[in-house]
Amino acid sequence: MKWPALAHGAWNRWWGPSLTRRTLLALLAAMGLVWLVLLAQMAYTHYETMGTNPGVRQLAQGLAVPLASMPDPVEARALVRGTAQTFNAMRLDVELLQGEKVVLQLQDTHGQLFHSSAADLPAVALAGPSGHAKMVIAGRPHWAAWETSGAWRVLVAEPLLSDARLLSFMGEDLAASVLLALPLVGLPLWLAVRTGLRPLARLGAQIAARSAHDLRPLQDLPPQRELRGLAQAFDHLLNRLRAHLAREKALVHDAAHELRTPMAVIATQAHVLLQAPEGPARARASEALMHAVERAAHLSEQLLTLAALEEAPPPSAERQDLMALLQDCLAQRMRWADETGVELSLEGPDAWVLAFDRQLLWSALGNVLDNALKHGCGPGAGHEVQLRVNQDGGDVVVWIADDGPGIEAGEQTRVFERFWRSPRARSSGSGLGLTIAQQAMGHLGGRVTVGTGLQGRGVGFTLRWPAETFG
Amino acid sequence: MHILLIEDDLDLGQALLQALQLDGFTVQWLRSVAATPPVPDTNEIAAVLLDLTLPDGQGMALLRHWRRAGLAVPVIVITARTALQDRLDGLDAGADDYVLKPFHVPELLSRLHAVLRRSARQACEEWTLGTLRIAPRRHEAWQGDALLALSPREFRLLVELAREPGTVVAKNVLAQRLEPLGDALDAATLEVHISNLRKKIGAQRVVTVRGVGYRLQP
Repeated sequence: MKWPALAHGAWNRWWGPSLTRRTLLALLAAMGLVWLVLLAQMAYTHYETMGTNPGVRQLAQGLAVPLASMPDPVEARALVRGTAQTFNAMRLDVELLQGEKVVLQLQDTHGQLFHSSAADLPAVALAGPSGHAKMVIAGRPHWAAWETSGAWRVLVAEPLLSDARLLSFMGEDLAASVLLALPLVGLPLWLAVRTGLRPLARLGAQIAARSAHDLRPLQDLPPQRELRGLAQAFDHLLNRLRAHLAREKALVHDAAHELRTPMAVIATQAHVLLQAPEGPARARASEALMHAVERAAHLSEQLLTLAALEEAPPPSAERQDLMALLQDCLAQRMRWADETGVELSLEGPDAWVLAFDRQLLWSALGNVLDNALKHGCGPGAGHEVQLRVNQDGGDVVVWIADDGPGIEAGEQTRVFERFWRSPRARSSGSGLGLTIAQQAMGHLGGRVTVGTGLQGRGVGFTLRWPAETFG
Repeated sequence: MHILLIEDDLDLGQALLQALQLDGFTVQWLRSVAATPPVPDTNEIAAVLLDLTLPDGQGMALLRHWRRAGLAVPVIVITARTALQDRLDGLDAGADDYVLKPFHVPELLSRLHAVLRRSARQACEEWTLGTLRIAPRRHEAWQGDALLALSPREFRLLVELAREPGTVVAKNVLAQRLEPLGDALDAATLEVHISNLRKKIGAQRVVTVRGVGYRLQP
């Protein structure tokens, strides 16, 4: 194997479409989404708390309680200083805060400064006895809260963290949790996918192990609802294949059966020819032999036509003159008609250009016409065959009628059956002509029906198909 | 000998008709169940060639009906149905032989002669009745080693009598068999042929059973 092929194989193995990988990628995406949502929720909670009840406010309120009973400035100053030192010491351990200090100020109710945890910071001007707000202290933005208690007003202010720093801190924190969750969720999921795909692999193996002739339905359908649909669709396909094969088999069987009689005729006529004495008897025998061979050839030709029609060829339509086609069809049979004294006539418009498949229509018209000539005309039967072309709504209607002996009512439903021949037929046809006509009309989206012929006698076949099937 | 041919196919019927006639048989050809008599007249028919698939019914049903009605004439089924079960069914229904289409005509004729010989209770194609030998296919008969010079009608008369050796063949039956397709031979003409035959094979061989008919004495 050359290496590009090898590389291609490896590429496909790792990067080709795979359900397992797709599931794991989906899991990764889901985890990312969880991380993002949790981060958003966390940030929202943080900013909401900061807006309504920030930590600085709680601390200020906490300090206000003991300060209420501390009129002594030394005592009060010691409390505030001690609290500031405790907090700032605790904050040193928190990486996020990076040692930035809280600011505590002790003022009296007039705004005179008694203590400030940040040296050199003048008294911060406070609006009202209590509140909380974002404000700039010592050139930096802070969250600040203040409370008034007895003679004191205490201010607690915490340096505002930048959004970027806060979010990256929260993000890192969450990422650790999500990464921990990833294998915990991923492993069971991977197992579920692997075991979930196993019945599919079994189904595949079951199908692959079949011989080409085995078209029975699948024996054990997978219990999984999702796979059941696939298996049923496969069985449905097998059913259609079986039906198709059965039809073909029946045709081949019938064909083999039907060819036996013309072959027997040839064999018998050949024997007669060999045994017949010189003279008119021998001439008759050789003519009969020729006829027998022609008959067998005609039957094989009709069988091939029928087989081609059973294959359902896609009609290829061209815009052309229907009347010209009918005239060609009649012209081909004119000599035979003249010799047997049959009058052929065509009624309809001078020309009618429309789209149709010439081969299919030729097949249908030719076979119905031959049927009329063969069984409707001749000595002791009719002597006229008429073709009438009409438009009926959106349909083209061609009526082919003779004035012959007709078909009995009970036999009208049988004439289109494969290999059916009238017991009163005066010549041996293939028994396929009308079947071919019916199949061809079916492919044209139309149909052929049988009724009474000319002057209330004979047989009339109606070929009808939608004029604009093919646009 | 007269053969009843039941075959719906126009071309095959015609061809078989000629082939059988060329072999010396007379033939009645029918094309459907409806045209066939409920039970063929055994007085006329020596054997039946029966096609199984007829446009208005099954040859097999026809055959069963005949056998139930006691028809003993040999029947050869000619059919395109090749399945073993069909062949078994045909033989079980009472066919003496089963010939598949397409067939070789010489084989069909041989089989036809074989069933005719069996029905005449003969062991080979040369029928033996005492010192008398008859070869129906060759249209020849011998008395001892001497070839008999028989007219076609005398020969047929001999064969018809030999088909049922030892039994009395009624005069009218014999008259009909000699002229299967037309009016039966009149009694006087039959008497003339019998008398001519007696001269050639020996008077004692054809016994007259008064008021009934004739019997061939082996």
